[in-house]
Amino acid sequence: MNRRLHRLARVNRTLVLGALLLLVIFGAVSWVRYQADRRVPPPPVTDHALRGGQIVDATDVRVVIQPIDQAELHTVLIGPATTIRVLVGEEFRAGSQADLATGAFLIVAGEALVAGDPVREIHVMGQRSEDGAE
Amino acid sequence: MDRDVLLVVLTGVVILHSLWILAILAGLIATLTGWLFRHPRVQFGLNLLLVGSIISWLILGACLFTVWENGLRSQLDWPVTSGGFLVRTLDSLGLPVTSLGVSLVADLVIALLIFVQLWPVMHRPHRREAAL
Repeated sequence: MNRRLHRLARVNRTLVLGALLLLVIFGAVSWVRYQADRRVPPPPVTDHALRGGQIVDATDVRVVIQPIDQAELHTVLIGPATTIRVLVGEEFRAGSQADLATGAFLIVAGEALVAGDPVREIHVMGQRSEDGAE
Repeated sequence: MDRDVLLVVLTGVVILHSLWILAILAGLIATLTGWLFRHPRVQFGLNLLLVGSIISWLILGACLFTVWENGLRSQLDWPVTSGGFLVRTLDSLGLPVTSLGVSLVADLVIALLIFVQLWPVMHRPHRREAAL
């Protein structure tokens, strides 16, 4: 019994050391990926989350975002319970409530953003009422 | 796959994911209080979860359950976010967090679990010193 516990303790020690080694490798890989991501342009717009764009106009209460990697303009119609999260540069800005998109632009009520800010990711949280490209 | 089956599988994945995270958090408390060191079998299970999590991050770039859940949500034509399970869950609970913040906390928890478990190993007296 005692010998079995000793063996288990040794296995645990090996597992923890293995986890430490893997964590260090993971940290290094993440750092390399992060540096590589900074150099490439944002990916194109997808069905589920807009990725990449530029803030065309911004005031204290609303933000207009135009996707840049797409010739045609993208419309996302959003339900009342939707939350929008915008990654501007390296930093997330959260919008609490999304207005319905009127025409070509995604309109987000939220924090003040500056026109010309590059948008890396736009996360649409919650159920959307409709989604499509014009 | 049938939509009902997908829903059942998705629910199962969400429950499993929640249990996995709760087990890791419980493991952290057990480690910090020293309870884990008196129960090596539980410690073994926790360490398997730890290694599994890190291997999943390394290979998939995210938690296995997050990738699985996003795949199922896509098949159901539900919105998928890159923020992941914790961001979505905490957001729905009224706690707006960023994926960067969640990643940092997760890394911190894992690192704490590892270092607290290694602490006794690093500070154990050598056999010869102990014999003297």
